[in-house]
Amino acid sequence: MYQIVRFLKTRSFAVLLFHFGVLLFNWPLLSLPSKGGGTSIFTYLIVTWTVLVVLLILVGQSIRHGERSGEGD
Amino acid sequence: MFSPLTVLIVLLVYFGLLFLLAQWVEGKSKLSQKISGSPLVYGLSLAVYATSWTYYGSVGKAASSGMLFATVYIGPTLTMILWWQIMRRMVRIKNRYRITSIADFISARYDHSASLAALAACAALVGSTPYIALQIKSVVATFNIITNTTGTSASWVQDQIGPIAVILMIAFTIMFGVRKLDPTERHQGMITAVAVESIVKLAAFLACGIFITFIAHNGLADLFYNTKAMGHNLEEIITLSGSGETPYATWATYLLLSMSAIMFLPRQFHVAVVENSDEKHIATAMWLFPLYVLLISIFVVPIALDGLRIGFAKSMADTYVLRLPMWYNRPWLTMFVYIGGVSAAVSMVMISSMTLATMLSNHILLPIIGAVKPLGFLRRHLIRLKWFGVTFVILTGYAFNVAVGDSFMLVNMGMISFAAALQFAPVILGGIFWEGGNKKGAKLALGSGFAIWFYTLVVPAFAQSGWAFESIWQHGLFGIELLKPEALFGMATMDPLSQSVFWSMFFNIGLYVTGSMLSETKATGLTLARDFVNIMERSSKPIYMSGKATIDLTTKTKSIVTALTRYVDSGDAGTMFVSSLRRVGLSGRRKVSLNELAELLGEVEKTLAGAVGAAEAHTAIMAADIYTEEERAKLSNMYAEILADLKLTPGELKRRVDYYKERESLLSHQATELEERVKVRTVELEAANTELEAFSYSVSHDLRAPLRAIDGFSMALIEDYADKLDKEGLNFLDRVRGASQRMGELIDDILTLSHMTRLEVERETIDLSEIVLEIIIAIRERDPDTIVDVTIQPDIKAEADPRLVKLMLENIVGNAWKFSASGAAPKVTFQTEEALGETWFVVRDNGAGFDMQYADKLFQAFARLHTQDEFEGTGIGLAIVDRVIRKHGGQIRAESQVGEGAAFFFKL
Repeated sequence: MYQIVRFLKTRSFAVLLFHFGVLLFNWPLLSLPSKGGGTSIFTYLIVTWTVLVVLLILVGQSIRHGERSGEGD
Repeated sequence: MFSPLTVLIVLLVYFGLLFLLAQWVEGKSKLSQKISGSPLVYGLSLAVYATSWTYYGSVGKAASSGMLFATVYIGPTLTMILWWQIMRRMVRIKNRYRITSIADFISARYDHSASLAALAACAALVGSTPYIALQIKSVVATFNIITNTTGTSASWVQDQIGPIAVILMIAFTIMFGVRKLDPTERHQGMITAVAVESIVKLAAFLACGIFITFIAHNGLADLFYNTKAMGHNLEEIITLSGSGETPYATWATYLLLSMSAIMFLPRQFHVAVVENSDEKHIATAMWLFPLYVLLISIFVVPIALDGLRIGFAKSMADTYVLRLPMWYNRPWLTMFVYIGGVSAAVSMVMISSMTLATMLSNHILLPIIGAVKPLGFLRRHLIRLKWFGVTFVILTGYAFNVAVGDSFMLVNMGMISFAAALQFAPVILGGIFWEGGNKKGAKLALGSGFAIWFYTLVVPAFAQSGWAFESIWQHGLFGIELLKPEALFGMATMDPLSQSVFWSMFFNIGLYVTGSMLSETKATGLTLARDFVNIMERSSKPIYMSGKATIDLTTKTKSIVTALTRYVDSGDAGTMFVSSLRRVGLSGRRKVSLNELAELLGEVEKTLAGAVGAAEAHTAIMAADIYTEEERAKLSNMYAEILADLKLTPGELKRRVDYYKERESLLSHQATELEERVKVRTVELEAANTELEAFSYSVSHDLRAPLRAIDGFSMALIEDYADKLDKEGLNFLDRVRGASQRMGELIDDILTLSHMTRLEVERETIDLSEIVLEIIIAIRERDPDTIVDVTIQPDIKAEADPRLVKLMLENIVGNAWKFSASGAAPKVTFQTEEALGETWFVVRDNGAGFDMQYADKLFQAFARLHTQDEFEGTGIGLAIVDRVIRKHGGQIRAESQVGEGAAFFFKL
């Protein structure tokens, strides 16, 4: 668990997540749900976005936990 | 639905409460400070991003372009992933350089360039003012929607709602944010009010969404079904980005613009960087803000679908959020949604106009005032200049709204404004990650970026609104097809916004890099660049704190001595220099730090001032050109940092320096005077003391002769006339003798005490056990009838004066013998004991003891705890003991209980 928390607040994880995020919300990945049209693109965007927000909550909390225990980045 | 007056009163009450909250937050109570310093307030204040353009407009965008609205919120979510890495740097730079706005940040990075700051301020003003117009427009339009349902003629309030809203916005902005000058440009009251407004607008939007999805319909599936049932094709409505030819390019452009807007829109920069009070808050904001925008987006599509299902015109989709609660006849939900919309508009207008006013006054008006001398008096009215700035920005926004109304320009202003903010990205991100970026590159980047932005987005918007540039828009500049604003250099495959972003970034980034690489960076600029880029390094300290000795003192010595030889001969110049070196502690050094060099020059200047006067000495040292250009720049930064750290204006600093100089001179004068007085008093005291000692010695000495006579003649009377005196007479003579002998002993003790004070302590290693043994033997000889059990720990050694210690031990051991002798089994011990973590010498007896409440009187001269009848004595003994101990710098304390003996602990 401690290893995960440490990894979540590293710069490497942030850069990795950013690239994944950019890929998930752009062509060509975005073209897959777009084919279905209607509710599928709506569902895809909301679900992916929610997952990203959950990960950001974990990252933010890991950083704050690290700051409190004096580890820093 | 509501009377105009009711709506106006509700709004006034709402903003009145917000104002009271802001006032309270700026107070000093612990709770208010806790709230204003909370990371939640910081995170929520970032939601000023969600203006009325997104509050109302996202539903409009969803109705016309499907999910494209979501990019405006997904973009910032992606940026937030790197928020901790980027924003922390910017906040640290802000703290170090006391940054007040985005223009100030750019100027500070690029060699404090005033022209860059002015360019950035102008661009921010041009990009943001129409956006403010959009907010005013939404407040006025929505007010008319909720107050105009009866069809009766408009009331005065309805007619004048525009000017009323503008006046209230100006008043609130000045009261909340620009009431007084704050050197840190932080406004906790205003930011807390913005955070509350963010909660209100989110709650209102969610309330509307939940009502439509779960109360008006039975959930999302039911709403989708009902929409389809009304003949609408969901696949046609919920598209990726409308019916454009290049949906993915449009989507990516919107995403990119939104990603940069969250950081580089002037208002976002202000709340995220300038208003940050603790960099740890960034960690909270990086999840709180994405959660906020996700929540505010979830019901956008359901609201849009329900509006279309009901049959509202697509052109009215921007106001579905407000119209739907009205259609369902829910007045309080309508009012709540309206307040949410006004909150979104007002918070944006307040923060934008405040930061724009700061840029306007600092980077445009003040340089103009500096250049036009008759306007110089305005410098003293900085706060009024800011008030003017706020009023100017909001009034310009209002005038723009009145003039252009529903034009193409205003409707598209949101994205045009985002594209303007994107132009700041290369110079700011390059500035904090690349040391090579310089002023020239930044000027070219901002200049070209904003020029292309204006040409490709503003010119077509003006043309489509029918005001100007129609010919340019249709045929290109000078009729050149390749220069058509919406198909620059023939690029017609992209939508106008995407091609504008492409070309502006192409030139902006390209010229920033090439301009920086092809031009030379000044030393001052280089130092700043390194400091900005390396701000996160743990060793990165303010310039004046870094004290590396890198300056070669040999070359400086020549310049300094040469400067001195203009006034004195070379021999004296050398002496002056060497003495200055010695005084600042640099003798023998070959390399010095800049700080040390500055101190040395200050000392040399002072030394020379003694010969030629302060002014001339200063001129001489300044003219000597001792600093290189780089050193001069570093020194200048050093002073700037010190000034920034002190949070003082230069004027205030000067006043304080003068005050401290004056105080120091006064104090040093007083200290000299005090020293003189102490010297005089010491001499007087020493003389008085010597006189007193001589007096007491002579008095004591002279008293002994008559006492001996009294004792001698009393003795003679007893021996020669005993038969002639009766029993009573003999008794009287015995008493006379006893009294005179006691007085003799007293005088002896006083003489001993007096003599002892004049003795100097001469320490040597002595055997205390041996001395105590000698004393016991002597006492036993004097008092052979008393049997006392004496125990002496052998080999107790000490570094002390043998004469004085013997005198002291005679008194302590003598007392122990005297006070225990009358007991049943008298016992005296001398040993060492550990107490209070130290080793003590202890004389212990099991005699009469004393009451500890009188322990403080024990060592006073003539103080006796027993009567003369109980135990003989003069009361001087323990005073002598105390004096000996003190002369050795030692300590003594006693422990006792009446009838259970006493113990004297001492150290030498």
